[in-house]
Amino acid sequence: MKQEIKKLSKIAGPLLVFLFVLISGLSGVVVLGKRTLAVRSDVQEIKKERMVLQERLDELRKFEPQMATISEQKIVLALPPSDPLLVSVSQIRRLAQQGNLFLSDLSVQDPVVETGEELKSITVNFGIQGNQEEMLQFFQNLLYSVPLMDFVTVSVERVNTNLEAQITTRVYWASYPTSLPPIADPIDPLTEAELEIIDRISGFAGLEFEVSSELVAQDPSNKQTSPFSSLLPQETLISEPESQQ
Amino acid sequence: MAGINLIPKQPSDNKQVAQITKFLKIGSILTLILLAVVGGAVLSVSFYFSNQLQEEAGLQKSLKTEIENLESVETVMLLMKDRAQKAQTILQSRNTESKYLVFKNIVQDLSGDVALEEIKLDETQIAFEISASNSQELSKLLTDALSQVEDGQTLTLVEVDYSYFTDYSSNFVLQ
Repeated sequence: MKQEIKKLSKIAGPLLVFLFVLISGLSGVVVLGKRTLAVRSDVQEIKKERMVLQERLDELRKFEPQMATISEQKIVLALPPSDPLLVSVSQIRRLAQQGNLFLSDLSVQDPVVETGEELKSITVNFGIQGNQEEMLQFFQNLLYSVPLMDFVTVSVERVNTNLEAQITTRVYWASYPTSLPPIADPIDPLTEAELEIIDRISGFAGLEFEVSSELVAQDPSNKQTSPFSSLLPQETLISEPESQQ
Repeated sequence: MAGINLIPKQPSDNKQVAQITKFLKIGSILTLILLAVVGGAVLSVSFYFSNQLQEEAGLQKSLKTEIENLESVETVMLLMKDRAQKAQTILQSRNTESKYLVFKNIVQDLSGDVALEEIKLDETQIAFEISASNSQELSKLLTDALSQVEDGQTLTLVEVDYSYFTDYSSNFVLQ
């Protein structure tokens, strides 16, 4: 028995050393391995983020030279960020005047109506009189002018050689976005369809207002207000239409 | 002679212990070496990934700075996108536009013997009344009108009247 104990005591030392080396070594490797895997996962995550950032930067760089060719003023005037009452009345008067039409009974219906997708509209009523050809052209001009309008009702009757019309139009507007998407989010570039719309609207009749030639964003360091707040087109009335006959 | 053990000792037991001890010692050393190698390799990989992480973080920071510098471009781009999307919604919902264009094509080239008497337009239809001094003009108008109607639209001749005083009068509805 004593001999057995003696034998075991001889083995115990090396055995303990072996077990200590094995356990502590394995623990160390496992801890290091876990840490390495975590760092690897972080690297993959940050790579993904960098790719999104790179794509965003590429899109912005691609768009930067395009900005000069896009008629941004027209699309902004087509859908202004605030109640377009004065602008639409001015446009109606200008188009009527162009067609030598007599404009009457101009009124605005309250309230402002929310027409979905953050779109708002006001309803403008007016009457016009004039010859058939000019009146038909006036209706078309109204559909293809800014701000965007739509006919709600049109009622036209012949009175002798002229036509008399009572028109109700809906004029649209929509608030600007309030913030840019988070920097780590992907950015959607302008699609072909959107560029087509911008191009189409650039052919619409403009205003009698002069609009500043550039939309300049605010200083990025100023985070107090929406980055879009300074993009309001600078409107300056340069000519008041002559009063209707 | 008493007390003298003549039985030979068993050397195999001590040898076995020595062998086990030797094995454990060698095992410990080999394990230590192996773990050191594996640990070193893992450390190297960890170091490599840490470096890569730092590198990526640096790149990310510089990209963020570049994007921030282009914030004005991004603002205009997003504004254009926002306006274009909303304008598209409006243009697509303008039911009167296509009908009005067809109607205008029908009536814009009316001869002097044909006159537009009345138009009623709303978001669903355009109803219009046309007077003609003779049936030939009315027939021509009908032929022209039908050729102008687009797919998905219907032009209905609702009524045709004739009186000595007003000649021919016809009512159409374009939907």
